[in-house]
Amino acid sequence: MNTQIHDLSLGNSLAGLQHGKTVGLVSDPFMRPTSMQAMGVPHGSAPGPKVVHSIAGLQMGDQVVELKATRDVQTPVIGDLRSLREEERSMADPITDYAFAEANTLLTFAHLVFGDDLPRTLLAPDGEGGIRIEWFRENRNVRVIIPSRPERRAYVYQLIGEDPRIKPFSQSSVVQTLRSVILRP
Amino acid sequence: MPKLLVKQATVNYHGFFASPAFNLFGKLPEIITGLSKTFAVHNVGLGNFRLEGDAAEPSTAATVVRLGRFGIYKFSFDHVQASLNGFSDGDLEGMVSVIMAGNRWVRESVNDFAFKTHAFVYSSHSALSDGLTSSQFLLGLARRTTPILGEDLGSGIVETWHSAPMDAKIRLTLDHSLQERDGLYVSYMVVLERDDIDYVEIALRSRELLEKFLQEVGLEFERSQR
Amino acid sequence: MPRTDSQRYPCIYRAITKKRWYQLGERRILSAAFMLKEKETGLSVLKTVGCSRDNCLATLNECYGEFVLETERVRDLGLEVDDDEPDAPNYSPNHAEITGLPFDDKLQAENRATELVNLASLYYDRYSEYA
Repeated sequence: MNTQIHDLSLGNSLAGLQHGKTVGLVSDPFMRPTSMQAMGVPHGSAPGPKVVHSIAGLQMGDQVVELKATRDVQTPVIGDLRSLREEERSMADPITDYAFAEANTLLTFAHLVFGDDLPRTLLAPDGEGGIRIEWFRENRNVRVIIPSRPERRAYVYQLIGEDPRIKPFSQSSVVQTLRSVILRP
Repeated sequence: MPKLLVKQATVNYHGFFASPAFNLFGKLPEIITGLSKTFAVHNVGLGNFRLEGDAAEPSTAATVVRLGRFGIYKFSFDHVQASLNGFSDGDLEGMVSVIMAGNRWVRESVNDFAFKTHAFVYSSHSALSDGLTSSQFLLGLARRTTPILGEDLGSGIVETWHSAPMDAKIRLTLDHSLQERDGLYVSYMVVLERDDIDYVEIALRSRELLEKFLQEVGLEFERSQR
Repeated sequence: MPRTDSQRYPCIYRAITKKRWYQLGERRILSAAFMLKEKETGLSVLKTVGCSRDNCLATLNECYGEFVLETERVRDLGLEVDDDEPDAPNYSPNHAEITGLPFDDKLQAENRATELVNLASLYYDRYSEYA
């Protein structure tokens, strides 16, 4: 069935028709063998191996198992973050677990959102166990300051020419700031 | 001002094609490869894919990619869809990037491609702060003259208008929630009837407009909730 | 604290105590080099330099070189450059501080750091890290 624009009327017109679940993820009926053939799977093929997600799943008797491989790909910026932590490890104020975790989460998220469009990320310690993250483009600059402890409050600083601003830190505020300051042409 | 305490929320994006993607019929490997490369940054493997529909009925056939916290991206031969449940502001940013990346792949892969319509649809079920019920809130709104032939429990609002700054049709519903006892249901649809849009700008403006409308009727989201 | 004599010391030198303060690929000084830490009264600088690979005049454990700034141009920003108090226990005749930097006002602190970065340039690369 083609989904047309009028089908999107999330009407409250009849009781029980309110959508609390995701609209559009309609579970289509059982895929017939012709569909499998269209995918290149021979008609009548046995179903694929079961997937286990833990070692305990291996203790399944004669059930076919296949370990689901997870790919933990370290991006260059996360590699650099880890290097920074190592460089500071012997200092009077090494990078704290809190700062590292926050930076790791942020940079992983930014990588997911921007992929290769994310400009070069420059990391530096703040000398007190926190991390400063900077991006530049021409006369534009975005900084994220992640302190050593949560009580000190992280923040985002942006500079466009002579116009500086500061805003509270969150993943979305960093992404929005990068989009509006660094990635805009 | 009463606050909306969001209990369930979903965001859906639909991009309808001007013409079906005829050149991709029967090209499932190409579709999966293309989407796999497009979303490689999410470490997408075959396990992230789900195939829907029946190849004998192209209008039902779809390739769905699961992208973790950023929801799903679904390619059908006549439209694309992205969906997100129970999300943070960061997840929404991610969803916008997913839409941009996926739609870029579609443009590059489909011959003579153009979108006909884009639609962003937000819906949520919320409790109200301070023990307020949906009836109490809705009874406080300006009333239409339509007769009520029984006890008035408060009626919702359905408003439709054109937003000039976005050049979009807006449809907003505010009513009793049938899922959240004494709660409010919000449905908010932004429809843009053109090929190319600035997804980031539209997402931002749509959110601002929703918040502005809610303020006008005397509501606001609880901080950091949407 | 006595004002640093800018006639005698027209330039001051900020020791690079963190390698990452200077980014080689970008040829860029990062703002971290000019942010005040919580218990600091000012940013430490030297009035004269002559460090070598084997000898750090500031007797720092970690020093990768120096940035140079013009003393009066720092004062033009509304900051001050002061010598150590002569009777201070850790007095050094070659040590001075850039003072007047905000700490609690984060926007102003970042702005001042930006301004100091714009005045500074790489003067000495002690271990040829940045070559």
